Amino acid sequence: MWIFGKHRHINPDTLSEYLDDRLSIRARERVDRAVAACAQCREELETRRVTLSLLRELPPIPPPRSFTLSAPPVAEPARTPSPAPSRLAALPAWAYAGAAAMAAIALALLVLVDAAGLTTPQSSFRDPDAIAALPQTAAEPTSPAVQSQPATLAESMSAPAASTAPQPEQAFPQSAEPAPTPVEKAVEVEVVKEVIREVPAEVATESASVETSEPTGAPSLDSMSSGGAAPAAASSVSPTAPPPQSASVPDSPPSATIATATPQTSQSESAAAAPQGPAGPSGYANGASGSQGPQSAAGSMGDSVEPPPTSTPTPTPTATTLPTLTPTPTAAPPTATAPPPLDTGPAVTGMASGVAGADGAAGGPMPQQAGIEPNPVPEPSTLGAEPSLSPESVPPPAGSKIPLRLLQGIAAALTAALLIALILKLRRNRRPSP
Amino acid sequence: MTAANPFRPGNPDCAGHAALPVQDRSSTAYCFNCIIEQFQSPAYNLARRMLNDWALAEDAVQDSFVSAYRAFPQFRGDNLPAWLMRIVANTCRDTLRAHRARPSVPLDPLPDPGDNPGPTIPSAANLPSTAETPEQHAERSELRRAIEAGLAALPAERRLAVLLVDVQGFSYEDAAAALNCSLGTVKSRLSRGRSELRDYLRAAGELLPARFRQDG
Repeated sequence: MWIFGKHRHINPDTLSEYLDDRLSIRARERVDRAVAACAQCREELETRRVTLSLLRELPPIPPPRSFTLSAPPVAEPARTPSPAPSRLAALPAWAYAGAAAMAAIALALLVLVDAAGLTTPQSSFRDPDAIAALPQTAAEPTSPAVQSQPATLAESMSAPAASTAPQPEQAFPQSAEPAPTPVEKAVEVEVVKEVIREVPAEVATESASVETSEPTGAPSLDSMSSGGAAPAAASSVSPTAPPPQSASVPDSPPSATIATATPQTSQSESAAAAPQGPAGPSGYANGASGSQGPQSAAGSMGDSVEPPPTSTPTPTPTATTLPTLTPTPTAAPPTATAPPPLDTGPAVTGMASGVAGADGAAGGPMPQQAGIEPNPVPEPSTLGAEPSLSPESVPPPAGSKIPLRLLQGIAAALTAALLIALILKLRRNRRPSP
Repeated sequence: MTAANPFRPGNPDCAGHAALPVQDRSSTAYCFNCIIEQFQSPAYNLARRMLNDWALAEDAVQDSFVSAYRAFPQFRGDNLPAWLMRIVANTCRDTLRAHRARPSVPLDPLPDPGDNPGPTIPSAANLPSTAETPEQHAERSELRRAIEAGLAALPAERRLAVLLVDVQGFSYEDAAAALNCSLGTVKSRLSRGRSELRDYLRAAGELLPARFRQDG
């Protein structure tokens, strides 16, 4: 096709109509002239013609069977007009989608608030006495003085609110920010303590009788109990955070600084903290105390039994023996002054436990080897099972629970949203098509 | 069609099947089974090449005839082939849409009767023909498969136009009535469908016989 001396190729639609013989005579002559003059148009026409011939040569596919109907097909069920839709059903779909989204958001918020602990009742079903003793027990895990002194804790048990309530703030200010979950755990521990309290009383009387009957074993038992508390305090406090008391020990007399916390702990605290220094590792502290011999044995025993601060009420027998302890080890260097009343076995093992670290696994059975009646052992072991008040073993409960509950909340919200979306889709599919 | 109604009840072709009288909008009576026998082959071919599945095509054709029977009182009586093919085309569209939404693969594909029409057991009445050598038969089968693959590659609407006009032999007007579109739309779809099919066959030119190759 020539227009103004320039060739324009033929439109493919025109070529199709040309092949189907649907063009007028003049249009057909024009296509004939263009095809004769242009090789590209000629090739286009030829390829189209071959394609058309191939299509027309396609053999018909015989039907596999006859589709005749033997009987009139069952009449299609008449579309009964659906009953008047309720106003709720007449709402548009986006309203349902919005309601679903709001429900999902509300559910997620509810779960988040629940996970943050804002809705947990703290004292609705608790024992009021345990709630009254709550601050001391909450501060116990972080207070080295209370940890190292079972006697003070036993006294504080007898007088709950008055004596030990200000101690946590003085001893360890970090404990002044109790998370709600530790508080709950502390309350639970208090309840358990009250149940167990009667048993240590009996044990105290028994140990007192043992003390009086065995005068040679009494100092060892005293030093064991005091030394057992001191390394435990050193090993339990130092890894988590250096308490202000231990930091102030080299500057000021140890007896004075620790006397602010508990007067009874001054001996054992000085014995444990003075060689250790402000930043002494727990292993070193344990080793230093282990070099004393009986104290190290007792300390290793305390470590092996792992008396958490809550287990301190159980060593009430040590509270009875503590007055005998206080006059004796006044000397600060315990390695030189403390003669090993027992054989060298406990001292060596205690040193080994100190070298090995604060685990005290090797020194666990030492008091039993020394022939001492291990009556306080069962109670600390039973109470040692409470991991809530040990600073090393207590993970931050709120921080560990929130992600889990957050995931649960997200999963619940997504499930609810999916269910509502599914209901919406089913409802939309059930809607009769026009 | 009212004057010379070949599908009126009681015509000689009605002897082979059950009488199924129907009436269109103008109360003209038809034997619906006669209509089925007349149009089942083009309907099945259209459905078979639209769906590329003989089982789906069977269902589509049967559903189309049932739908046509139910809708026959609305038929105006002007263009029965286009009206029927329109129903078949709509059924094929619905089937394609449903199959696209829920694709399924048969666990054990059955043999396609369309691939090997006729009896397979050699008999005296079915002796091999001497008009076509095995090579020619293989070549023709290969060509047919290539064309059907090219048709299957076309978009559905262009494939419908090509099948109706080029394979079924419908006029442009009947195809426009069957596809429920304008005449220009049919021309455009037909031209583009042919061009795409040509390009497909060119790309697969090595498979085609020598006489169909366009090497320039």
